[in-house]
Amino acid sequence: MRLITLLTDFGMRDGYPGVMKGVIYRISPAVKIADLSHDISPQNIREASQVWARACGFYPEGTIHVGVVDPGVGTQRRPIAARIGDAFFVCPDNGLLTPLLEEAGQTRREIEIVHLNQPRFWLPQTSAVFHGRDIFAPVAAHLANETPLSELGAPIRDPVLLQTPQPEATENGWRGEVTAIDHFGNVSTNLKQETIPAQKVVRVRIHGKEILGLSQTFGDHAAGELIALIDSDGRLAIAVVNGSAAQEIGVQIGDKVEVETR
Amino acid sequence: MNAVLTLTTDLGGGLHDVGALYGIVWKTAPATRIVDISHAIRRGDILAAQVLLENALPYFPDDTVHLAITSIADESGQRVLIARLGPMFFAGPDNGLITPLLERAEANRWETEIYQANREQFSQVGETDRMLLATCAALLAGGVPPAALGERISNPIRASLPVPEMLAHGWRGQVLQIDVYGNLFTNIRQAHLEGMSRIHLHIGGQVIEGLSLPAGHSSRSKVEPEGIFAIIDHSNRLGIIQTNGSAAEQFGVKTGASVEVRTA
Repeated sequence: MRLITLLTDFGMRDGYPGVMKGVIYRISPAVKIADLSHDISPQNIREASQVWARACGFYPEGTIHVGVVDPGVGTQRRPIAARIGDAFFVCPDNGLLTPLLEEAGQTRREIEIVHLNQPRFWLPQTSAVFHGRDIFAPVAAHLANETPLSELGAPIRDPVLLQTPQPEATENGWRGEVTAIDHFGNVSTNLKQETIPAQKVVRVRIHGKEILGLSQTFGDHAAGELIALIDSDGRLAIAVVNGSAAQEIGVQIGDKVEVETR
Repeated sequence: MNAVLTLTTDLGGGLHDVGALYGIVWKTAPATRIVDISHAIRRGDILAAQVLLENALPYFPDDTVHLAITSIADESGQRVLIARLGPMFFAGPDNGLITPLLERAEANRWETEIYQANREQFSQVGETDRMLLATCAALLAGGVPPAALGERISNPIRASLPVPEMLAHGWRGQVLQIDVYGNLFTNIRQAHLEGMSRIHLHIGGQVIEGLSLPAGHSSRSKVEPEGIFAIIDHSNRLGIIQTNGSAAEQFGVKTGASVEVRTA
């Protein structure tokens, strides 16, 4: 049995994810569907790409990940499908795959991308505003039914890539930036633990606040205390124990964070 | 039987109610695939639930069970309906929610059987109508015929969506739905616009000239990439969308707002 995940900015109010599931079950009745999230901020491609980068590695081989954060729906932006290593992706060609493609490049995993240009694998009538239902859901269901990627479209080698901020070395450490803020208000950055081993971190500075060293976990400190730690994805994160770091220090995605190392 | 069962409710997402529905369904029919259409319908907003159901129905497999719950007044004596409408099954209160399924069945000349659940038969399932409904829906999903669950009726309450009014040079309709992006969807359908040329759309004291994208056109590449567009939307209705913005905010309108389409 194949697994399909859904990641969208649709929310759960208007029925859009439910309709996508109906389309999938019509074509591939035995598939299992998981909701990765439907709470991506509207049109926020970068946020969705980070969720994929963090979550997809935990799914079984052959999982098909559908991503629909699609401000360009109905324009000439290409619908695409990809195989990256042993996972499949179906999404608009707008940069959603960027972190996954970058990582695949670093780890030398196989990449195959096609422009979805075979309407026989779509719904018979496609609207201009709901390609999640009309193109991406049916294509994912056909992939689940073992239709080869090569039949779904023509190979491409130039997917749209987002400009991703890279950490910079400074005189006494590293400068990175905030890449995500979660439901708790925890602030995640693009500084990975490989770059800043925990034992070498002396000080973290963000929005005029200074945090000494890294903590192991939230419970090591009193409620309300601002801490820095390596999060579950192996990245430097800033948190307030039992509170919201994002609110406490007023940071936003893209804000700079500096780490002083020994 | 791995039937699909959809949920369209006004129960909200913050409490245990929806989770309890899942439990009741899976206790009776463990292999059921449950699909949430929405639980964020405003309490008792039957029209909103109908719009979502109408949009969703064509896309689900045969034998899908559609469980709809809005405006449940437990112990009110309201009839609980279970029905087969062609390839679709329905469970819901008798308050008009069944109408989109009935209209779809009638348009396709499908046979329909509608029953009133026999409360005595289900006296063990729990105290509330929603427990009764979830149990009935699960039994349908498990392959139990609706005739085994109640007495046949022929007079379900119908509550059709509002229809547009014909004007001398066009149509007056209304906004039926505003989605999470602020896109507006109206009750004016593509068929209403056939034969009309040089369309002007009047909404919120403003005018949109022309239809940017008739149904069946899958690309808006030939129009400006940014802006406000009148289109035939994903459900074949006249829709108004704003690229990277909210048409609802732009026009300052809410559900029920008047929309007029006129020829120039």
